[in-house]
Amino acid sequence: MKKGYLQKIRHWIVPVVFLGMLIGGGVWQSFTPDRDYSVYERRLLQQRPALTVAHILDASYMSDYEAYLTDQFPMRDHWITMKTYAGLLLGQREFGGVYITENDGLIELHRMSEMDDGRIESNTGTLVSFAEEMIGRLGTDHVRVMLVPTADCIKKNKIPDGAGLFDQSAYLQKLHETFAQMSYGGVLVPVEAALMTHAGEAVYYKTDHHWTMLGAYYGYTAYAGEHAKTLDDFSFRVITDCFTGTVAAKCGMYRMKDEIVLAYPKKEQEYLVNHNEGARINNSLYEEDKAYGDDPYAVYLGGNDAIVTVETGCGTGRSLLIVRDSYANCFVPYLTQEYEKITLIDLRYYNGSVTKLVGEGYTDILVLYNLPNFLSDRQVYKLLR
Amino acid sequence: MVFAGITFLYRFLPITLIAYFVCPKQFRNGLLFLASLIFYAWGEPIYVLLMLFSTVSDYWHGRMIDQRKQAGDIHGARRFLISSIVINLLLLGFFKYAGWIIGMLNRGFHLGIPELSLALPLGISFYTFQTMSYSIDVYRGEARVQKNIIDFGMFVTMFPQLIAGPIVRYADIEERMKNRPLTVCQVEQGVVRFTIGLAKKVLLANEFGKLWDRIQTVDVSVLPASMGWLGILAYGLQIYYDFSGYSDMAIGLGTIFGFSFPENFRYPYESVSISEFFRRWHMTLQKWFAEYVYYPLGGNRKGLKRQVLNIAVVWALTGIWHGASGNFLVWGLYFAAWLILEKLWLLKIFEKLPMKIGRFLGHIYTLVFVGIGWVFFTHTDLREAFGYIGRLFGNGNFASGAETIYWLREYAVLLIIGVVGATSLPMKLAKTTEKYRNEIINAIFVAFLMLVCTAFLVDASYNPFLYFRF
Repeated sequence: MKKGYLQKIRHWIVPVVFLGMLIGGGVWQSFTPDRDYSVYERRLLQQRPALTVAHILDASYMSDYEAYLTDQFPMRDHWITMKTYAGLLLGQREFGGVYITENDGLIELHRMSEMDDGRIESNTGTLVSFAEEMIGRLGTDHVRVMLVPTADCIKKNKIPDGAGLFDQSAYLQKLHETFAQMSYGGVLVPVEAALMTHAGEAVYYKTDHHWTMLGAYYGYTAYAGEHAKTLDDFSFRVITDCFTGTVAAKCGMYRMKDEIVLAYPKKEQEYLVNHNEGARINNSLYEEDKAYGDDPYAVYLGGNDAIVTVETGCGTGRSLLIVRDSYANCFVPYLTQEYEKITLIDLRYYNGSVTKLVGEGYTDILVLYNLPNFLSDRQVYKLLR
Repeated sequence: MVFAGITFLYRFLPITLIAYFVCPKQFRNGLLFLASLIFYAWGEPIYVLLMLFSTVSDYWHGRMIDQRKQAGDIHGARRFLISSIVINLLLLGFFKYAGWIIGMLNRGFHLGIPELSLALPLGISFYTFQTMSYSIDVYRGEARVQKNIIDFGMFVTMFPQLIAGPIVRYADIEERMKNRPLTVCQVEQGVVRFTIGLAKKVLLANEFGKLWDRIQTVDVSVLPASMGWLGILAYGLQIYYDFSGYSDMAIGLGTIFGFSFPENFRYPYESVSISEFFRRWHMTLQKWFAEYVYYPLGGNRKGLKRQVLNIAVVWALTGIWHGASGNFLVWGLYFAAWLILEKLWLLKIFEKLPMKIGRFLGHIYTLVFVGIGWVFFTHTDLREAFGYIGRLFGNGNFASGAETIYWLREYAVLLIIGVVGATSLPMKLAKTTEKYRNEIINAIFVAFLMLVCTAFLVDASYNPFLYFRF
């Protein structure tokens, strides 16, 4: 009697579990408060769409509703991490264009197939013409170009062959030859070699596409050559140790954390830092409160402004104009003892003429970008404006 | 609505299932009809009217065909049958093929007919075929007329197989229209089948799709041969898991509701000839064409020449059924050629070989040429398709395999799972372990697959915004 009953009831298990999961998931979702913003993805999440006849008839209500349910699915970030782990378990290492290594962090891949040959050529041409013009005005010793290779170049031995990477070394070699033929051999800063020598150290973030404060220091030694200050001339401070950067966001892997380090010259200095011609004026190269916001990397020089002027009062009589992307943000602290005035302009936001700005009495000029970004940037033509 | 989405899984399906289980028996068909209309309107809020029109039209035609037959007026019945078929083909022709045909006429004769750019109504190729089969079967006396329009509406619109098959003929489910059991054992089987189908779609098909997308971006002019073959493997697995996964989900849902839908795939990649492959691939479509086109044309009963012609006609139609584009026509004719060759010579040659060798060679040959067939299937541009095939045979570089190895490594485990999973091995394994498994283990299996599928579905919307980054 009892056995017969058990025989019957056991067939209920699978349907009940299945239906229970569907109902449970649905109810759980309904009772989870909607989020406006995803910190990990750095975007606004889809909200409940408005139910109107027009939206139903053009089916936008339905597609928005699916996006809404998916974006607001309870524990969304955990499901995404679970998917990434499932992939790792299946032996996959590349997620969203990011290669996950055991000990060397997340390496963003820049593929040959994703680079635009036409843009590479035109940006290179612009750069060479710009350098030529500047050398004519300031002299060979006062013009420098730093195209910093990214982690997928410096740590390429961590990535299997056949990933189809853009060959940054070969590009730099060719660019160097171009400059050398014009007898401007010293213009291109040998930053690749400097980083290569220290490739085993933490010169890149594990979770972000930038070079670290340490990486920037080695870049600085290549830039300053024999006059470079030593690491002992600076003190370092960790402002946060739970930074997850853009590369982690790109591949949905949030397990790794990075430190953000700030560097200070041991010789005390006072700064006047002017962002966007008076929009924000402060006395530090760092905006420390940003270390705890949505974009902690903005702690360096407060993020990317069109124009930033740093006055250091070091009295050397030299002033430097940097045309740059965000790789320059953590580079500036190493330069404050050599230049009285450092101005950084970001061509994506700065619409004035660079050549005119140089005429305001700068003694030196530096073009500082990460290499793949420079070669794919659409605003480089503004250099010659 | 699609099965592999959060709205379907966590809203539509639980609500529909609960409503169905608590609904009194006599209202269940009405409930399924209503649920199916919502399901369809979710994706096609306008074209749902087209489907309703088709429903009413074929319902009426079925009644009229039956009435004429009862009155002994076979010519009258025939006229209504022709009218029904013409309306269905006009619907299909207008919404699916008109744009393509106008484009060809404009190009061929330099005419200036205004281009027609209609969105293809979801599932129209499936439901027009199903309703046509109904009218024909009623005319032939193979199915009884359906006098209840709600029951008929349920048959036409039934959401489990509405969008991607299997193509269910009315005669297949006639018995279960009015009276169908709802037993817990059946629900149990249906749930397991549905979950496996969902996993095939979400965990395998979508992932192979990513690999194929990656390979597809490589310009054909520099594609290494090894990469081309990897692409074919990826695409062949993607389309198999996509399509058979959808069929599994449909069959599983049908089983839950008390139907028994026909099988649609039987491990086609195990076949030892191309003829066998298509007896095991999208079986309900092949049966439909056999039943309503090939046999009526005379099949193999009117001599070899006629048979060859019939095969060519059926496969040209099968080709363009898959899409209104020249490459699908080429795809169909490509297989027509292989089927004819097999009929005339190839199968005889394989039979003459020792059995094991014959089967082995047959299997390899089938995989290779079915795989090459997929190249036509995926490239709407025929020049690209031929370029791709040229690359496969070394028209270009055989070397430079590093990139192929990179992707092979990334997908190695999935590809192995995919290849093994496409054989009958997992099913055999399931059968032999049946006595060691109980419902609890099955439930854990189902729960695990559902969890992983949910993670993959949520992840599919993962879309980090990184423009701020420099």
